[in-house]
Amino acid sequence: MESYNMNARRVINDIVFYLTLAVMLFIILFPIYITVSTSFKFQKDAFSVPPKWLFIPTMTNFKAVFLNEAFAKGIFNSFTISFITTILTLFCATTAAYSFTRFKFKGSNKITSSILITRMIPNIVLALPLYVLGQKLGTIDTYPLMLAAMVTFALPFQIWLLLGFFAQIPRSLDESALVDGCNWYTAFYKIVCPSALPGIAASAILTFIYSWNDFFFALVLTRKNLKTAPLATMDFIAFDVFNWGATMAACTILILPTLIIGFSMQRYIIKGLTAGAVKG
Amino acid sequence: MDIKHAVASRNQIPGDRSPLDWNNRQKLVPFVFLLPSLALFITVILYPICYVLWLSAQDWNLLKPHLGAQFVWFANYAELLKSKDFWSSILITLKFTFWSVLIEMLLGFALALFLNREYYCKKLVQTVLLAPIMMSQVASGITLKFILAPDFGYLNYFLKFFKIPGPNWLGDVRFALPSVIAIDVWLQTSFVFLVLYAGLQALPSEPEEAAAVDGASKWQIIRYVIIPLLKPVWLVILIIRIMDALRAFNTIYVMTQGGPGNSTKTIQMLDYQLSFTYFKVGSGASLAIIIVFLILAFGGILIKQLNTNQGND
Repeated sequence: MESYNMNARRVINDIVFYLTLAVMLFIILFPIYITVSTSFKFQKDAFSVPPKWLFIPTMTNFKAVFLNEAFAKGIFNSFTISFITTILTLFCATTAAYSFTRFKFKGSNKITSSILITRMIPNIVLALPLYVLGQKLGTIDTYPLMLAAMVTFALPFQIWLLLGFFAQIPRSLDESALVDGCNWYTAFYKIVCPSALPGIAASAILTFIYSWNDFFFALVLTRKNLKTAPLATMDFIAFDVFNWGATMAACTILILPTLIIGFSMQRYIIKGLTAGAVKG
Repeated sequence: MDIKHAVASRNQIPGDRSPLDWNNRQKLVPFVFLLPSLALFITVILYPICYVLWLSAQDWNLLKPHLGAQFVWFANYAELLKSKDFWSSILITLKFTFWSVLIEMLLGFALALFLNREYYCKKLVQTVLLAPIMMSQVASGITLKFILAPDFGYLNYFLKFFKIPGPNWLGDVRFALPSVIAIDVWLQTSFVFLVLYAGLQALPSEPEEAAAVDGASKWQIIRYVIIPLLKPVWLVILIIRIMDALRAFNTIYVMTQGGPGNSTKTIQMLDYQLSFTYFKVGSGASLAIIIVFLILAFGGILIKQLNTNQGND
């Protein structure tokens, strides 16, 4: 009798668990499902009342979106800016993190805790002066201005993240490299970086995603030339408030790259996101 | 050339170098490595911040260039501190931050505890949980605007089954802020979960087992063993979430633009409107400085908490 009760209790426990899990997954996936499914709907199906769960799919929305020059340009701009930002940020962050973990110099401790503080600066504090200065110098809507803002804003977090990874690489590795005749630069490039590759990968992925999803700096510092994908997507709402199908198609395309990267590089992303908070 | 070479190579005895040469070079190396980041910081952060300070003392409307910029000392700050808009936006920002961070931390923690066990399709669940973090906030903002639409939105349709008339969520002064808070919760709880879950995984199992052997109930274990051990991780994620919530902008811009009325106008939103809708860059700059002070004050207190906590370990 006793063991029967125990088993029954465990079964009920499991049922409750998986049920709650299902509800939770539904809540998270529902908006994404709506985004994708609405992009395949005809106008009349998109906002029919009551909403249609079964419908005939169509590609007209995607056609409209792809043929939209501004949106295509937006995607291209997002790719270029994200790519360049990632490379530049990686370069600056790895060198800085290497410097902090290998050398003890005056103020190195203060600098590491002030990195956490620089992470707290709201984007407008950076965007406003860059905008005004940009107007004066005529550099609004150009690559240098946008990249400078993106890289500088991404840097604190990436340095913080890489600090954790670089600190885990023992200095004995550096020292043996130095004894073998490398100077510090070669030791950095040829020895330490390859060992820190997982951390560097995590940093690169997170920087790319952050850069792709950026909205504020693009909103303030770009006009027609460098308009990024999120801004171009917003334009769909501005044009034609009722063309939800096309807007959703644009959203679907917008989230596709980051979702693909996210799903395929899960391990790195999780490592990167939890690096600063959890030790080891 | 040859003499120079000879002298130089004489100094470079293999395995050893002239002490002067070596020391000087050694001292420079850390700074050479720091150079890219440092250069970037000085030109793109330090200089602009000084510029913002200067801007905050100007009365400058970019829409009226003929009036130019006039030096007005602290007039902008005084004007802000006296305006109702400013104080209401502070209140709204605090409300937003308080509720979203509270709910996210509790939900994220509950989730982490809930999922801290073996079960099927674990990988799938982790994948799904990553989605809100990866998804562009613009896209999620637009989608949720669609779901919350009064006439054809899914939420109101769902509520019809329970005979509850669904209001205009984003257009109603009473519901706009709660809706925006709910969106932020949907977006960020996964992040809190991820970090707390990783923290839970990294915890040593002996204290838990010892407590269980001593006869502690599940709740007691959570309260007296897990929570204290998890405190450092908790604090870090709390700091990160508070800082991010205080600066929330993207979703609010996409969904309500600060409206209806002023009900979702956080200080970020107000600053954006001051600087880039009305182009009163002087006031915008002074508001930005005030925001920085607020955040630094908050952050300073919290970081101090974190440091004292780590010191105790």
